[in-house]
Amino acid sequence: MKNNFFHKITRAKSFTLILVWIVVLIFFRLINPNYLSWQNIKNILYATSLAGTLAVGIGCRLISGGPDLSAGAVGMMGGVIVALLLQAGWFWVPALLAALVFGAFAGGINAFFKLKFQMMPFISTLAMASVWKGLGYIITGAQSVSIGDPTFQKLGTATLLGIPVPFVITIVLYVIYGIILSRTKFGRRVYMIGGNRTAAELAGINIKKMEIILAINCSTIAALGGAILAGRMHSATAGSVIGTEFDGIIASCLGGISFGGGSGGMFGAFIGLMLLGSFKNGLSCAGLNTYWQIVASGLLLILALVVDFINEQIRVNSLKKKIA
Amino acid sequence: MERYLEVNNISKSFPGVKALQNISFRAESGTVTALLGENGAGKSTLLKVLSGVLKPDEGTVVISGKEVKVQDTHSAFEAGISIIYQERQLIPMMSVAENIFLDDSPEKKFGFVDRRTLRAETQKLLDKFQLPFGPDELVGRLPVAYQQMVEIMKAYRRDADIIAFDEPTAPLTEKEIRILFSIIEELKQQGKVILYVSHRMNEIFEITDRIVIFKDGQMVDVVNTAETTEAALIRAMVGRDIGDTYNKLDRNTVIGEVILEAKGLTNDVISDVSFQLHRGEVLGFAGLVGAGRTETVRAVFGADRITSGEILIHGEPVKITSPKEAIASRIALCPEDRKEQGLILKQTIRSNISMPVLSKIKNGLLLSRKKEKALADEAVEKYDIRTPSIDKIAGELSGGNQQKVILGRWTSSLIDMDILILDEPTKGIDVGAKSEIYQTICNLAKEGKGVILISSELTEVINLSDRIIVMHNGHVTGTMTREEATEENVLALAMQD
Repeated sequence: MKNNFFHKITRAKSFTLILVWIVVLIFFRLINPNYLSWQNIKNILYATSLAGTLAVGIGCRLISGGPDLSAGAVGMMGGVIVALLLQAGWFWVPALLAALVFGAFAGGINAFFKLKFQMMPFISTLAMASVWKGLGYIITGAQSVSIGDPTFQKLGTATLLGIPVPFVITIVLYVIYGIILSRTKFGRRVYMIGGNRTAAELAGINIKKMEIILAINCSTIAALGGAILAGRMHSATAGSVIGTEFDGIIASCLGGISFGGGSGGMFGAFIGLMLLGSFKNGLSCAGLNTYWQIVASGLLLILALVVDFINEQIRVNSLKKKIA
Repeated sequence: MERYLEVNNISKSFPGVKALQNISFRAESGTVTALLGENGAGKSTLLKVLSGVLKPDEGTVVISGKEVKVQDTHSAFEAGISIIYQERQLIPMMSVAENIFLDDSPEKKFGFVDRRTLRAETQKLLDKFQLPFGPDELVGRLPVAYQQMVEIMKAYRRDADIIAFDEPTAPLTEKEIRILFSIIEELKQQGKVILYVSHRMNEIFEITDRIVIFKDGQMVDVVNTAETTEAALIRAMVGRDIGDTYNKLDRNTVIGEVILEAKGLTNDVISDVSFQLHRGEVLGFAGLVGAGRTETVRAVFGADRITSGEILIHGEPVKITSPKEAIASRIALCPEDRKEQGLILKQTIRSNISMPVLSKIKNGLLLSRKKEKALADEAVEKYDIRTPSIDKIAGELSGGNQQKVILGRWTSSLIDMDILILDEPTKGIDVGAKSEIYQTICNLAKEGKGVILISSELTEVINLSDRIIVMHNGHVTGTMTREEATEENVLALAMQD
């Protein structure tokens, strides 16, 4: 029984990832004793919370078979909208809601292009990212929009039991979506669509409805992420958030969500996020220039893809042997 | 030197199926040799061996006295073999000229493509084939018949010694067929060796000189076209022992009221298709590949649109525009291609079975693992799915077990379907699993379900069905009972022109 349990754990895809993560933690701790200090851990948590928030929505879309490259730009717009409305004297709750409504709208546009004109989401979301980015600069006049509302600032800077609130929100999102994906009908359908669209449709699933929901979901979460970042920074700028969607994608793929759809899950994606965050932070603790972090993100992803490829080959070969 | 193609003792097996057994024949220069047989008799497999797509287990191919080792498609090309498949091998985003020349474009200095020569050469071909489009037209924009002609021009230009046509006329109009035949005649004059696969009897009698007849992967006869008759050919194609697989089946004997009626279903593939399905009945659809059988059931299931026609369930007219609505009307479809359309290969057996009934295995908002396990266990038990665990990935199962998973999905205790559509349920499945599926089909009928069975294996569709509908070219060409049906009369209806 115990043996079986151990076997199950080691076979899980996330197991290797957790081991790698632990090795990374130990490695950088040896290089710099301050690496695992509470202060630095908090740095890591702050730094990963935005990418993590975006990654939840992006991850759901990736599993359903469609990437979303507009999440960063939509997040930026979410932050800008909140900041502008707060400056205009709005109470923070309706201001935040307005940002979320904008996010839902942006997601609706992405879904519309996909369903009405059969555009590949990779291209159409890339185009929309550019549209939002440009509009962001136009409505802010390329200036930083400061936020004076103390309650809203707290959303970004306060801690809960010592843990930064933005990270708490990220964790809560991972848990909620983890449960949705693995334990609900909706979640199961996300995997079906990503695994085999035709089969899912022939099994009676309304694919269009699912795609609309997932696109809206992704952009709404992105807008929330951008708004929280604006709270933490006490301001919003058109240059912020954009680019973070790539970290979200990289973290998700590191964690076992395949770009082709149909596999992976939120637990793995969360470990992927922590691995990415710890590695990037470790590099600066080791005294390397911050630009190395960008290089490292890319290399980590390549490494993950190579490992994935080798695993798949081993699987296919052993299956061939079994059949022959 | 005399040109000829000699095939010596070619054999090829797939797991559970002997696709080709000791095939030997010789095709001479300046003649057209027909390859004739039912679907799955081995004609296409032989063409794939000749073209290097498949490697034979045994046997040799000799061209004009020289044994050729066809290792891959490139070496087939080098050996002078050119095959024009039903599935066109064209690049839709490239022009006609580029497709015809592909890797072999005329070049100028420094490897630049000589566009002027390329276009002029292509125009010459287009004139010869009397085609009404230019060399720069994108292939993807051409109608299917013209795409087929581009494919033929490609082989023609390569000047291969051996040219095989795999049902070339299926998408062509009468006028285009005339042009094609005059080209084939010309190729004959040039002394080429021509192989011709077709199901159309009148064509075979018109342009071929000899006929090689296939049946279940074996070569049963070689005859001179001038010395045979259509009836004799059909007899040679079907003559085989059925064995007692079918006699042993425990069939349903109580056939009830009409549960599904289709009236005049029409869309761009099928026209005016009408039929009735009774409770407890197995209704077979026979026909050749492309006859419109799959399209008919897809239309019933709401997967394809219909432009006119009506569907009645239990006598009530229903509007079905999506699979979801079909399922709500208690119709299930086990599609033709298990891997592409039926299963989620990356997912477990458990979740492939629970797909349509997720709402029924919930505890509040969450799915109940326990109820799902019970559901999957039920299917594994009922169909004897051979697997160590219900958490095994569906892609790792054998074809027969995959088919059982799909059957389990639609016949569990949580889902009550009245009508089950099985499209090629035994395709690529070994003999043992096949007879299990045959009994399953009879059992479904006994449970009072109406079963629609599509199969390209004639014996199967005739012996399992209570009634058989024969389709040809999108039309229903005949309906008969099992007692009336023989392979000869079904095939005659399926091949009529």
